[in-house]
Amino acid sequence: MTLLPFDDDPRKPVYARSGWEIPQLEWSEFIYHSGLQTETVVRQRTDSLMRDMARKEKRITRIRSVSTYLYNCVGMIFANRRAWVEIDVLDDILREDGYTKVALQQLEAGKIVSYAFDGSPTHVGLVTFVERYEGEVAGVTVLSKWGKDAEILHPMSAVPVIFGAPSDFWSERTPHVIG
Amino acid sequence: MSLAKDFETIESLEFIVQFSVLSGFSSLLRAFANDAKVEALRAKLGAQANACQSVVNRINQVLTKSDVELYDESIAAYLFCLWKADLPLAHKASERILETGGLWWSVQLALHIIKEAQAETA
Repeated sequence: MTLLPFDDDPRKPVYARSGWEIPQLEWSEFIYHSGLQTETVVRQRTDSLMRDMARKEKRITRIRSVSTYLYNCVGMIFANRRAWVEIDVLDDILREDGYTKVALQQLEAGKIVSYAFDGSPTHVGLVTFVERYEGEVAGVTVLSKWGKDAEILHPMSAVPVIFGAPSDFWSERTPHVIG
Repeated sequence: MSLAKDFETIESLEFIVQFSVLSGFSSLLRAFANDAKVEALRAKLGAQANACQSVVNRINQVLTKSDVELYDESIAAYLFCLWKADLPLAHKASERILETGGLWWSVQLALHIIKEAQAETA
């Protein structure tokens, strides 16, 4: 079977700051044309996921949005919720966008947290709030899109087991101190 | 555990949401390869006569459900097991899956299997 290009391909290219085109799945065009998930199904899955998280005493802050449009955690942050971008290219995007690793102590709203399971990247989220107590990081809230499911606002460690744990923190800018 | 029980487990919401949160096809394949429920079904496909055909029949049944997109991860898990046990059957099931809308992981795996089967016959 050969996938032929459609005349009305809804996918549009996404570029990193360096000009590098972020790859999108060759079959996503086919999938866009074969129909997407319904809102009822996304809500059913999200409700079940929330119950499962609660059973494991991992409480999320809130569900930000439920969308039938197909984008994922990488697409939420790096493609303005317009595309599904495979998690395997996360390191390439961070490099091509000029991100550098920062320490937990340097975390603040707007920075990025990546997750890994057994050394493989699984997920990425946007830091929205950092709580400090006596100068130390006491809590981090993250906004992230959970695969095909909802966008969730959650404590950094309150994620499905399959995401593993936070592995690295990233910033695309150098801090500016008013002189 | 019987095949019917495996089907019930794999079509449960609890199973589905374990994988619907993933953001990469290779992550999905790794997760399936490490999942005990998927492994239990794979073991039966290798050990029981007609088990592969039963999985194909089950895929066809699920594909006719009105809310088929809810079972995307279940269908993908069935196809994953079939792929490891019987490539020609998995190829046939993949072609059937491509006729159905609303699926994401199942379609990606189906296309992957079709490519592999074509490469093998070439």
